[in-house]
Amino acid sequence: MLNLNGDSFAPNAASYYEEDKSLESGQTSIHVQIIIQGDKKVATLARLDPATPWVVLNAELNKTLGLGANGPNTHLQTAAGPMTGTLERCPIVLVAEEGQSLEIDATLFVCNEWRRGNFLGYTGLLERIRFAIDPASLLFYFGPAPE
Amino acid sequence: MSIEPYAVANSRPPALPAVQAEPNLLQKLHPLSAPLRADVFFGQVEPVMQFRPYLLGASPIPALSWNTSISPAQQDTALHEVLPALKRPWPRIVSYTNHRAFLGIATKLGTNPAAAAYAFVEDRTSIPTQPGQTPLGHISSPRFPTPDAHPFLLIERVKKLLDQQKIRDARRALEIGSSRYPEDRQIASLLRAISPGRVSPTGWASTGRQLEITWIKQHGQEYRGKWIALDGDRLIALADTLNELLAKLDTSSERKKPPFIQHLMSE
Repeated sequence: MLNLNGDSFAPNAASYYEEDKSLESGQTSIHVQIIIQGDKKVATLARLDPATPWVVLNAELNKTLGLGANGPNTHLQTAAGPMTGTLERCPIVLVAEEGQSLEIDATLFVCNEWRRGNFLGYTGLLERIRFAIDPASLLFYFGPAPE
Repeated sequence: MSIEPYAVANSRPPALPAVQAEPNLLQKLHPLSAPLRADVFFGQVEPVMQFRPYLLGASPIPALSWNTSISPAQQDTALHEVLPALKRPWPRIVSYTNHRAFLGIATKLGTNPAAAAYAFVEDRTSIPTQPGQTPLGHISSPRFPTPDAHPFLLIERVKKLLDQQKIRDARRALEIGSSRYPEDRQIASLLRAISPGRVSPTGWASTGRQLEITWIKQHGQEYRGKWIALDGDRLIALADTLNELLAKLDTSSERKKPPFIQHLMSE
């Protein structure tokens, strides 16, 4: 548990991984374990990316979990250029190893062209939690943001 | 020609004539509330302009203001554009393109016959009425049915805000829009899609995925291009597509710790 000024700040913790070796880029960043809660449950890694507004998942995950095509259309500037997709809601679980996991009703940018990994964006998910990292122990602390 | 200082002007608040403006002017300026009448106040904006005209609609219409954040160079250009408009009845829309309106307001303030104020309408923000503030006059504008009267203008504006990643502004616009157009499905759908999500504690924790990550580091090269499912350091399923992979697995929603699934990208 992480405290701030004597009060609980982020009561849950999980390991994070600096590299996602499954991706061709192998970029160093912060990857945490998530579970995508659809009709089927899929546990995988996603990168924390506050510079991205939404949660963005690999296109094949979207397709297989039946996400997309229902919400409003929008555009997103990405490292791979501008993308078109739809905004959808889907529960995403941030998995805790200490404390308890949190399920967040996230906003996803569902794009059929995106194949560069999974990203947890700011207004789609991260704004709903408090979080901190400890690079020395590779721990990701998190908890619900106050209402 | 100069701009009269705010303090001087404010000490002699002029009574402005009621103005019958062009049809739909107020609606163009504020498509959400589309007031028929708006009161005119003067306030202070530093350092760019001495006067800040803004309109306050009657309750429950939200207060409106116009952002006048421009550079001195832009100010010179803008004044040059506004001054010819002084000879004409005010206010008038100098140009109106894609939610941007350029509003020129001219009047006589105190002894300065040419005091002018203008606003470049881009970002509209709500500002409260100050205690003791009295309107200097009012603008009325007949409302004729136009496409502006429909929610699509709001939706187009929200989509533009979303493209610009101005998510908070988009939420604010949709919240106002949903109260004005409660039965509009597109507005409701957009608001639902981008509202902050609920966070629910699950009551459970799980183990990390260090074993799986280590396995990928050691063996990932052998399975490039495949979808894999791991349980600890065991490869439990392998497939070309995620669909095929999931068909081989128990991914029911009751399972607390589902297999760890990754796509190993091709080199």
